[in-house]
Amino acid sequence: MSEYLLTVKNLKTYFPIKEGLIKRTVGYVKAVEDVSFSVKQKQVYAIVGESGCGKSTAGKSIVRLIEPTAGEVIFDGKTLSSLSDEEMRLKRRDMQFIFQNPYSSLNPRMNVYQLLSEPLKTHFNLTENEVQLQILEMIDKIGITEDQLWRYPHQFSGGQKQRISIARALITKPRFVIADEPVSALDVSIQAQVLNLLINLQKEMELAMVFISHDLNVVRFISSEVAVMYLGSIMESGSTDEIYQKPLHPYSKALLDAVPNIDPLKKKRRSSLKGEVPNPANPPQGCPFSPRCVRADDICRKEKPTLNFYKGRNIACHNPLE
Amino acid sequence: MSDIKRITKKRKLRKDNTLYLLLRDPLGRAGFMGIALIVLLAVFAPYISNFDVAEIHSKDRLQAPNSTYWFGTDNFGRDIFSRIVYGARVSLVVGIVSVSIAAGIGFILGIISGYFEGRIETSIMMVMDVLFAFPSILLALLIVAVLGTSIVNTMIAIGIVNIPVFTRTVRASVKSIKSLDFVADAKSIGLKDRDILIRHIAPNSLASFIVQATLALSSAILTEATMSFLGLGIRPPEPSWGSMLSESRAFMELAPWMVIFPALFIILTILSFNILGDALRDVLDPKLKL
Amino acid sequence: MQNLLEIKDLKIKTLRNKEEVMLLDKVSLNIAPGQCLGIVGESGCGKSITANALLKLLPYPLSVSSGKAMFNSPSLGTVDLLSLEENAMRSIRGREIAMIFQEPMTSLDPIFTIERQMKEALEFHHAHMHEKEKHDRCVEVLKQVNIPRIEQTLGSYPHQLSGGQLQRIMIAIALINTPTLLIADEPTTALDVTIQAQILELMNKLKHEQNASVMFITHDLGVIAETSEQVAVFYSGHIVEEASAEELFYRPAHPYTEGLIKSISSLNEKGNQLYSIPGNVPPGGELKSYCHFLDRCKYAEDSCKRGLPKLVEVAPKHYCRCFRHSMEVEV
Repeated sequence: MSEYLLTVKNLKTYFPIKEGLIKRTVGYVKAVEDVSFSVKQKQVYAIVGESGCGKSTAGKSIVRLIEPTAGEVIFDGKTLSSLSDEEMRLKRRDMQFIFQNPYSSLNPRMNVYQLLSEPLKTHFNLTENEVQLQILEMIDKIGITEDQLWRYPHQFSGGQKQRISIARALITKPRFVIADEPVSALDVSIQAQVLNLLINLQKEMELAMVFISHDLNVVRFISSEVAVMYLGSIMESGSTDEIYQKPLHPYSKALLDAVPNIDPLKKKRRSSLKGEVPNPANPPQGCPFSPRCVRADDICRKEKPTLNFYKGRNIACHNPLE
Repeated sequence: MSDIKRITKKRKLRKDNTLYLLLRDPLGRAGFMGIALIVLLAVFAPYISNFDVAEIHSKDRLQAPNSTYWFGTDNFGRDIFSRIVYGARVSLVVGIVSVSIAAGIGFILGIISGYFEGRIETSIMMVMDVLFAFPSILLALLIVAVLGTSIVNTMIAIGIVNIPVFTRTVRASVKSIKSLDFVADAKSIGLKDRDILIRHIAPNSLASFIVQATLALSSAILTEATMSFLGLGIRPPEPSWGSMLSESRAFMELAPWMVIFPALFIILTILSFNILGDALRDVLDPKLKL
Repeated sequence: MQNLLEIKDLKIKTLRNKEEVMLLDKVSLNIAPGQCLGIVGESGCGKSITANALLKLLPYPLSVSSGKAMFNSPSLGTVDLLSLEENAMRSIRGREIAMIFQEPMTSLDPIFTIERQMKEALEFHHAHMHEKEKHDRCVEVLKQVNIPRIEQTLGSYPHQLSGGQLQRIMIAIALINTPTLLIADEPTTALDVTIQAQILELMNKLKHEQNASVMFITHDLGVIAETSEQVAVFYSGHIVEEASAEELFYRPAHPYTEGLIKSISSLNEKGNQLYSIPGNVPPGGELKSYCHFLDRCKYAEDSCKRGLPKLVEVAPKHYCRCFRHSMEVEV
């Protein structure tokens, strides 16, 4: 048994672009172009990137909520793509997914009790009493009271909804969870509460977690390792602290520089990144970041760099920063 | 654990009850009362009516409303009030049976074509589109012409005509619900397709379905009236509001009450169902339940 | 009047189940010429409706129930925006006060080209302008907001452009009539950090070039720190604190502001727990007779329930609504 609980190798997810009456495929949106990384037991691994970089699609492809086009996902020694639909369905007990928006990820016609009992009843053969015991134990952790059990999602605030949705994902006691921007739909003063809860549960349940986010501050706080994604590919990955202290990829650096600072005396803007993220249906030749990169030269525009081990981390760049 | 059991009972709150919410709404109350009136008429027809529906009083033809004949008499001297009361039975039975046919078949086809994409969906919708393309009254007439004129055939015809509307409504709501996060969430939890369909998709598409059903009820009653008016619905002397209107054509100026009363009841029934449908749409929104 | 805009005791109400509910109360703000006032607060705190009220854009059933908003209009002199007639308001809206919204994708009409929509904004206030002049003006403002390939962009439809470009165009449309006041309602919330950085930089540049005043509404304290000189913190329909940006970030007086700043800066420290404000954001329209932050405040005492604290000056030009600083009660 390897030290890694999850290994993702060269994951690709393409969406066909269809045109015309007979829906002929005229091209592909390469949402996830090349993603490889490994997550250890009990580790929080972050994927960070801007909208449209494919981080969310990558997350969904890993647990086969979207079927990946190519690549391999090995979870607990088993290749997920080789599992039948039914085997995969049973496997979900161990690998769960937390959605970004609790306003839409909870069925409005189910009360909290139904929402929390459903995963248990699906995966375990429990008596009603055992189900109730487990639910009581869980709501105690997420700060929902017993009489709130019969309420419906719309009667809760956004933060409470997200806590319910976290509880729904974790009540089967999975070993691995993917959290897709779990706090970005919440108010600022609520985000910290929910992050604390998630971290506490992760430690307590010894979960391995892939944390997908565009918020660099949150990523630094929560993860020990991080992968920076741009246009479907990983640009740089490695220890969070090291990358934040000294990014080697020009894109990681630009991304970190763009984060607003809450110190008004440091107001002066750093040289911000020019241009916009290209369309993933029509990616640039060579390095996907080359059109916006200040260090780009001829080779960058011709040849796509591969993710290589360099100075203690992985980086896909022809001209890394010193 | 007895604690939970006790709380379980708390769910049956008055505020949670759809009927309670419906009656709290003034429009809902009006629609509900209108329909209750028609239902009472239909159920207690033998006790309410003064005369037999086919009983001809040749001396009292075309009488204006008076104390004996409350709504007047028709050209055969039959009591219009009694015929209206019995006509309510026909209207309601035709409405409910035909809508049940349409809704039942339509719901199943809608769920199937909405959830399973591809060839199944395309072929179901193709049939529906063809069915939809015919003017509904023409289609109903055609079906009755083939099957023969009888009350049962009328109901079948109206039922078939209404299937596409239900299929389309249900399919559209299944499709939009299917793309919502909570369905993806149910999949990620590890639910079986069947459970996702029954527990997550169907309950959430029920609201638009029920509203559609009340609206279809009124249109079914209207179609029956139209068909009877054209002479292809209920056979005389069996009374139906539509056939009563039809028979009144020649006497409209001479005896306007022959037109006014059946028309009034058709309008009342349809209006009540439509209002009820609108009110139901609001009430079935889960956000209203406190 | 020295200020460009003076809002006094603005009160906004709505109807809920046929009952009047107060959404906003006792809001007074000033914006000096050339100044950027940041308004920060969470969803439902009343920051957006304040801006909409100024331009008479409140959706039914919301309405202004009292208050004044004196605006130093170049064309009309000093006017009260809230009591202005619709005709007069139309000459101010879009020309003297322009607004930028959160969602650039839905703020532009999908069936018209960018050029047509930009010219429309010009046409309304300059009916007699020549086509050529209009075109030149469009090119000029697009240049100001750093749009590449201007002619091509003018001929495009909104769906052909990215979110960042569309937001630049929204800013260009807002600037096309050289307004004296720009209201930006969460202009970067829908954008990515690298694009947000570009837009913020652009807005700071334009503010200096055009000497326009800006009212910057956001939930992001970081964005406020980068753009605003003066900051008002909204909580549940009230201003709870107002000060210069420096003063506010270094010496926050209200427990809510303090909590917000702490929870953001604790992200930068490796630790086990984040600093967090307990409780939930109160839903809009629950104005209580005591301090609204009471249930979530770590300094709360029983005596806090005695009434709504008054917004008082706790340091020079630094206002705060909290009993820790003054015992005065709002009447």
